[in-house]
Amino acid sequence: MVEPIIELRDVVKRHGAITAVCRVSFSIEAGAFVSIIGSSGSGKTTTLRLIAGLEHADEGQVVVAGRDMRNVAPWESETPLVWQNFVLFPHLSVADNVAFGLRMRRMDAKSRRRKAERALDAVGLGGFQNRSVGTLSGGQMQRVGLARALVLEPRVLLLDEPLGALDPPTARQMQTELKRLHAELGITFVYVTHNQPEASALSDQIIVMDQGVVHQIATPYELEHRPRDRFVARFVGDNAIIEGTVLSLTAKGALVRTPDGDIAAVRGDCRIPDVDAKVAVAIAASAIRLSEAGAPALSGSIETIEMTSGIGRMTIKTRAGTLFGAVVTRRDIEQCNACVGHTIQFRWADDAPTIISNN
Amino acid sequence: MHRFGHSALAIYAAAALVFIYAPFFLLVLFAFNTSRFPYWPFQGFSLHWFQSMANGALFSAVLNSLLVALASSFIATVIGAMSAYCISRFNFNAKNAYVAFILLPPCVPLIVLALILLAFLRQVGLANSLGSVVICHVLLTSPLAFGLVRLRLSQVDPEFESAAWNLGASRWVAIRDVVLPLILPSLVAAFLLTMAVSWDEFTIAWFVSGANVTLPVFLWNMFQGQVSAMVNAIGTVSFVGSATLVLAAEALFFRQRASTDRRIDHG
Amino acid sequence: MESPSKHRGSGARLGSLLSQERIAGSLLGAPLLVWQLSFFLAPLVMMLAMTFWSVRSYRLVFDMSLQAWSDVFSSPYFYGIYARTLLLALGSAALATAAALPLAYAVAFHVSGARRRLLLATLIMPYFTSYLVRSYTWRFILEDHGVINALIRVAGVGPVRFQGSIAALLIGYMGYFFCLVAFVVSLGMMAVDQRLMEAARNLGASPRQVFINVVLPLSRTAIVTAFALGFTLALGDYVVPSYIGGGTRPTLSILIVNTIQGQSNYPRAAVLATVMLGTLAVVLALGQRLAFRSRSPGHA
Repeated sequence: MVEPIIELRDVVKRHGAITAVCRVSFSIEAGAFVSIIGSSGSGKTTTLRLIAGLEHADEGQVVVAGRDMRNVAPWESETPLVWQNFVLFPHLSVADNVAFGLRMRRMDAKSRRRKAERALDAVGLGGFQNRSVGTLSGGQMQRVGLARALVLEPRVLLLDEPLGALDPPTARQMQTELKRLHAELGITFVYVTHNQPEASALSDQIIVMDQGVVHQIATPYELEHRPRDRFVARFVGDNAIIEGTVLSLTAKGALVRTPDGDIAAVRGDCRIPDVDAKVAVAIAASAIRLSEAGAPALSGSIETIEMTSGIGRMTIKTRAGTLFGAVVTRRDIEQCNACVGHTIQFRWADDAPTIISNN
Repeated sequence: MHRFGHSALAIYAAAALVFIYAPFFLLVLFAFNTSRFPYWPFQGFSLHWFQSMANGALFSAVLNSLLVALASSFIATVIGAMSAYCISRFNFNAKNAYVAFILLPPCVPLIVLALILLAFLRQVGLANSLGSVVICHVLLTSPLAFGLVRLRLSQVDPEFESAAWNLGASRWVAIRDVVLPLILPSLVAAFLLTMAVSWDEFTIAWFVSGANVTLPVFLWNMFQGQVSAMVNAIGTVSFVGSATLVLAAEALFFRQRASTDRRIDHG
Repeated sequence: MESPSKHRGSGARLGSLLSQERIAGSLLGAPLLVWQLSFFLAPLVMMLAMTFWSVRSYRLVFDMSLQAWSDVFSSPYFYGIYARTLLLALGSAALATAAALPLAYAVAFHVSGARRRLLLATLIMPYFTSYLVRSYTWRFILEDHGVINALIRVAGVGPVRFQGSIAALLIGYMGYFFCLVAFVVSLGMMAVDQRLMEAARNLGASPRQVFINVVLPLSRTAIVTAFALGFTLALGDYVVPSYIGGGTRPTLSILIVNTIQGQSNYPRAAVLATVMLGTLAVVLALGQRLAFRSRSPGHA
């Protein structure tokens, strides 16, 4: 097994009366792109700062590159951060900003200048050395921040919502840049964001946090199709959630009796349910197929259709009152002659329904 | 009706400013008066009061004031800035009590301050020297330096230091390379302003300086003697000096701009 | 904000991270504290102790005696001087604060941006310069042959004797700290949210009503602070009553100076100073109470 480069074990961090991080454990493999997602107050930024050594855990262990961060000062951590608000030093030129960390390592001026130039070229800002920070656009500032971190050739790069302060077109561009850089450099990226599509597009693994607790650690695909609990199903993925009772256990999970019929659900990351236990089943919107032949099938009335260019989302209400979300294309709509208020038949992909745990 | 209120207010404001600045105008005016009495009407133009300023006692008073101002402002700015940084970046239990205590000296009536300092310094044998004046002026002006630097630090995002630490700068290196450059104008402003205060301070200097006369004490002694427009001449020069210090301090302090302010959002 | 040790390099520093931070903080915050303790608190305490010492043949005797206190309070002219000092200080502070209100209003609401910053800089500058010479000039402005009387003579009225009058003292105090008081009140009014004033106007309030019901209450803190500043400065000032007033109407500060210069009686001077401090404390506390009572909502 690959030795993880970052490991958190039962980490607790309090800010005054509030527990920002509550018994969080996870490990990150070297070279992976891992995102921590959550809304504000979820503890994701605190977790990042714990990895950076800017804060220290009250309980538990934070191990980065083999070092227990408990005894490591912020300036010894060697895990440079790319900040949401850029935090470029206003009194230094672009080149001096980029070379700052190198100066802290007592590199000579000539080498510093050379490396800074190369780093700026790598982020597409060749020629910007002598510019002053105040003349840069948001996207340019973020690239300088990136160069400033990467010039140190770190094994771990930390990013705190780096696209948060950028306008959408610039953010899109930067997102692609980041993916490319990660592939090119092969180092570990730890990325914090509240934007789930962004995280899904970029990451190998996603850690979902809410109120200081980790809810699920999974690949983007698993997060979408195998949510672990109600929180992930409702706030991270796009799922219909149906309550029911376990009829019988199956090889993959259980047969669940619900107001919408008996559903064969797969057990994801939770414990084996007992027969007759009350469970909830989640079905991803992307697993819904409209008017295809084959069982199982449900019918319901179309509540809303929201289209953005070629693809969109439809909500369908079944007779039992369950609201299903479905990802649809314009073609699907035309083929089924779908309209708000019409009844439509739909089914889901096999093995799509997931048993989720209560949390 | 609103217009009337506007212009009435404007006239009042102008009158208030005239009241505040009248002494300066008249001071300078009568420094050029031929008569030694600064009475109306103006008698004639003459430079001889300025020429008569070339005397040893005056020079030594000016020198004393300058030395005291430079020394006390330097100390006050340094220790005031250190405390301002301490308050702005650290947390500890007695913080509020600390700040309240620091800001106490300017709240004490000047005559009381002068008395307690004189009595104390006499007891410990530190009175009647320029050093005594320096000690007292540091006491008086360090809260001012503290307040100015603290105000400036509250405008500087603490994340700059976090970023510096994250890139390998130790605490003291971060202060030297990131914080100091960003607060330098306010440090200079504090230095200049405290110099102006020290240069101009009379009561305490009068009490504790003994024979080492500073400029305000020199002037006070002149007040007790014959009326002479030489006071105007000296006053004019002194005023120009301290006004320059104050205006320079104001310019420096207000010019520090948003590029360092917290939480800017860029598109 | 947490951050631990400042030493690079190896070695186990179990738990010393926080203490390194504490050392750094203490190093930074200590010098000023030590200075104030040594040269402010110690002298203050000594002065209080001194009120209980006595003077025998020009030497200080460190015994416990109420001699100084009884000397001061049994002196007939002390009470007159005290009353005059208190009234003058209250009066000049009130005058300065009241006179500052229209000026502050103009600064806060009729000017903005760079012009306002310039105006504020101009307003506060005189306070930091040439206090002594300003007082000197005011004295001569108020003299029989001074500028004011010259202007009055033009109007045909006989010369007004300002020297030694209460008016001269009040003008003198105004000349000293009116600009500071106006500056502080201006800052306070600038902090008032103008949208609240707009809302009041929108609900039918006249400019006068807006001022009394919105602007004044919201700048209350600044106004009280300005008053307190003026009061403290007037209380502790020596130059205005002695130079502009000619010493004909002595105040506590003049009494203190005379007690030191003439009789070298430090304990008695210490008593006077203690009385002054006590007065200041009482007035400030009362002012706090008066100005900041009825903070609860539900009062119109």
